[in-house]
Amino acid sequence: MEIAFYILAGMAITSAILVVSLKNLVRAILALASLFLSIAGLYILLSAEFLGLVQILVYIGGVILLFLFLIMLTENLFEKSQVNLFQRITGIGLVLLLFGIFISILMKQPFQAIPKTDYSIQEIGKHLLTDYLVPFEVVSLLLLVALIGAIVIAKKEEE
Amino acid sequence: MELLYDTGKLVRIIEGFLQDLGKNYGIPEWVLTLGIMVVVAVIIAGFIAVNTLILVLAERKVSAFIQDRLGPMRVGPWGILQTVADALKLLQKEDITPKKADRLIFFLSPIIVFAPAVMAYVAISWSPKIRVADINLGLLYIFAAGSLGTLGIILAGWSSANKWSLLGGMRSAAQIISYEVALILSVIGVIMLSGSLNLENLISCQKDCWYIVYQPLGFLLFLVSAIAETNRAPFDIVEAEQELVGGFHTEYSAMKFAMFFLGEYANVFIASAICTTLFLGGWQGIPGLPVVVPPIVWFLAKCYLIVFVIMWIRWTYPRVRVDQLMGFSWKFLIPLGFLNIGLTGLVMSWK
Repeated sequence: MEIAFYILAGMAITSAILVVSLKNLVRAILALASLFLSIAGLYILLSAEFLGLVQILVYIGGVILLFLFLIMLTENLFEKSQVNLFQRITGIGLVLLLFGIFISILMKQPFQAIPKTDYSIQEIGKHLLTDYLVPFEVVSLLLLVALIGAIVIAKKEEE
Repeated sequence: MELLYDTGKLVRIIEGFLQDLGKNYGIPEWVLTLGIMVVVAVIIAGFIAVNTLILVLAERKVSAFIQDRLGPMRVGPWGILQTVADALKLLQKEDITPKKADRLIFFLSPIIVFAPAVMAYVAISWSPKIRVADINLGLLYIFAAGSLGTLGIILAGWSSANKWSLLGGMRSAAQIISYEVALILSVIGVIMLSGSLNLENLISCQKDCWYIVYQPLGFLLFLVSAIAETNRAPFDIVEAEQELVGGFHTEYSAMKFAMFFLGEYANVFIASAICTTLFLGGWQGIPGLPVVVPPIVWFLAKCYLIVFVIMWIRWTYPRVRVDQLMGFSWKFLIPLGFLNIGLTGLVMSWK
């Protein structure tokens, strides 16, 4: 089990570095897909199978496909870099800030083994419709609003 | 022969043999596990290859039958060795990569199409206890594996540096995203009835009555969406020869082309295997009748029946137009899928 963790973690870190360093956008997206895949593997290793499989289904089957779709429609995006100095400095500053926050949270966290819990879809379903009913409904409403918004924007451009 | 009927016993014998091997010869467990994984992978790859040869021949014979022709007749008796000769020819072809192509992605795409198809075979329940892995969320796993393959098709279209290939890849992205929704909605009725995503559980729930009786609408929706998901006619605008030369695999030759072909037929078989498992009782015989043939024969017979229906549809209906294709999924299949879920829920709460 430990070997599997190290392989997956190594894969995740390598592909994460590749995503930000590769110049070719399509190759970067392929690296992003490999990152999502290794994270799905980590979920499955933590016996959260449902989360892992949904991660593959939604992120690789949906999000990555949409990214590819957009990049193929926008030509000549690969060669020229349009980042100026100001954007570069703010980017580095924000990333360092985020990194500091993560590290400070991680240092406070007392690490311990997760108690063995039931992650079956029956349990997830029960929790979603009892304990977390309100957040669940709010999220559904948010998605509905986003969907209608997308349709309205698409309609306007057509006329 | 008896072991073919009671496959649970067969599995126990193999397990016992492997445990003895580990104890008597001191082979560590992880070596055994790794060895079994390699053997299983080779068996699955071999099955896919042989199955593709059979399906391509069947496709040509079925199309010939439907069009009142003879089909291949020259190689071997009734032409049964035709696809073997074709495969040998493909192996000898030159492997060409276009000059402007993105070489790495051009090389990777056929693998990205083929590997998930192999992954999906791991979860199928062939016969009682005969399956590679008993995955609790087997159905979801197969869908997840299926969604990985699309990535390869789009990347193949893009990396070929050919506008026809790119158009084919883009069409496949739009088509597969739309029909995946319809496909998953169509099986929710069955999941509601059985309350499980485990393929063995789904089969044992159909002991008394196959789900096609309770879910005729779900069955039809699944069949239509599965044909669209596997990019076959009448939904094969991804590789529409008259419009796109050859679609996403125009620039591919030799073994890389063969990989796309193997992936396509592997997916067709997977689609019919899921259809058999969900709606036709899997490896079980007809309820109420005595078991005459082994479960594995039942399973394969039902799978090939569905494959035949898919071929029959391909050679009967003309291709759907691109603009109609999207509308057909979003305005017709998906509302019907929701209707099916609603009706199933109503009837279940009635009881």
